[in-house]
Order: sequence, then C-alpha cells, then structure tokens
Amino acid sequence: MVIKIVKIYVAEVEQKITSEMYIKYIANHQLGIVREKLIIDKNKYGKPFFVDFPNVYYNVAHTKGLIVCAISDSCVGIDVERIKPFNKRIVEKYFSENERKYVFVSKDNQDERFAEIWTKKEAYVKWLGKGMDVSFESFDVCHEGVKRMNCFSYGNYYISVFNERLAQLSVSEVINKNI
Amino acid sequence: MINQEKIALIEDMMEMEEGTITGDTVLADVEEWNSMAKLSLIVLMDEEFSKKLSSNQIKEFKTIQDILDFMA
Repeated sequence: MVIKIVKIYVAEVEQKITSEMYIKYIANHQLGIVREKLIIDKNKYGKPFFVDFPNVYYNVAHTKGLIVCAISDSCVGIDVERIKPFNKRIVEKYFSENERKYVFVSKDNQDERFAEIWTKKEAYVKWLGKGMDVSFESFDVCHEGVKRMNCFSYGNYYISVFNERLAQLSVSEVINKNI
Repeated sequence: MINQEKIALIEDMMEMEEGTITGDTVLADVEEWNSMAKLSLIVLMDEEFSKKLSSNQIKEFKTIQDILDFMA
C-alpha cells in the first residue's frame, strides 16, 4: 500500500472568497508560487487546474463560513458541508441503498451521517472532474472506493477528500482573513 | 403562484435571506448555487410543480429568471 500525503488548508471566512482567490493565496503562501505566474485553466467539465504546474493537483470547496483546499501530487477531490438538517428526499432519490441505510439507521446524529455521505459523494465526483455528468445515484461510497476516501469533522462541518490512493492527510488552518 | 413566492421558495431552498435574489440574479455569481442546490431544485420542481427537470436543463439556466420561467 502506498501512503501519500494530501495537504488540506482550512480557513474560516466571514465574507465570500472565490475558489480562485483562495488557491492563489495558498499557492503563494504555502508553495511559494508567485501569483502572477499562476495560470488556471478548466477542463471541459469545469474542473480547474494549474497550466504551468501539471504535477500539482488541487481542489477547492466552500460552504457558508468555511473554505477548504486540498493539494496533492495526484488527482484529488474535496468537499465540505455544514452539519445541518437535510432534505430527506435527496437521500431517497440520489443515495444508494447502502447509503440510505447508513443515514437512516437511527435518528441520532443523522445530520452528521448525511453530511459525511454527501461530502464523500461530492469529493468522489470532484475527483473524477466530470461535474454533473456523473449521476449521484450511480455509485456507492459505502462500498467500493471507500478505502481511498478520507473524511473528518471540523467543528460543525464535515470534510471529505478523495485521492487516487489511500492518503495521509496533513491539515493546516489558515488564519489570515485577508485572503 | 406569483414570482415573489417562487423566489421565496428558491431562497429558502438555498438557505438565503429573503430579498437576496431577483430574476436578474446571475446563478454563476450565487455562492449557494452548488450541487446540493441543484439536486434540491430537481426535487422541488417534482414535488411543488410536478415538472421533471434534468441536469442538462439545469446547465442551461443562467439566471434566476430561467428557473422562474421553468416553474411557470
């Protein structure tokens, strides 16, 4: 088994920061890449990548109050979601049988289990980089591929990361609000 | 259902404060317009308007007005 490291940068934000602003800040302050040299392009499905750094892979996700970024030397997908009451119809319509059972197994901590499965599914789709062309009901994060998934709670949020191999996470908190 | 009520439904779905969006609001500028919002919209269209909305149709939506027009 090859263990790789995926670096995760988490920032609590009060106002809207775009994914591009955040990755440029992280690349500049953590990787030492001059912002002006950082050209970002998008694949045909809209997944962004560094034009001049083909071996540096990244993915950004944000939700109200938090923005997260994963950087790796292989393709990576990340998602974050606040733990909150959820739309049960989404589970019924878009989750696999295993995932539905997992979320609905008990009423205790149901919102947290929903956030876990949702972010895992999002991280997987973002890793694939094909946007909404991948239907949410077509795969099962409670079954195959789960070994390559890392997930953890961060305060009232849930963060999931999907990488090509089982990866060891290194999580850093970014405290500079002037991104 | 008048447009104001439909906008309130969309704001509620995306957990936005009342009066945040109008028909002219560009979806690409709305932070809350994410995957969860898109799947929630499919469910909303089905349950409240008995309309089948596909992910390809969602890709064509550029403004809130496009969503309102689909609801009509």
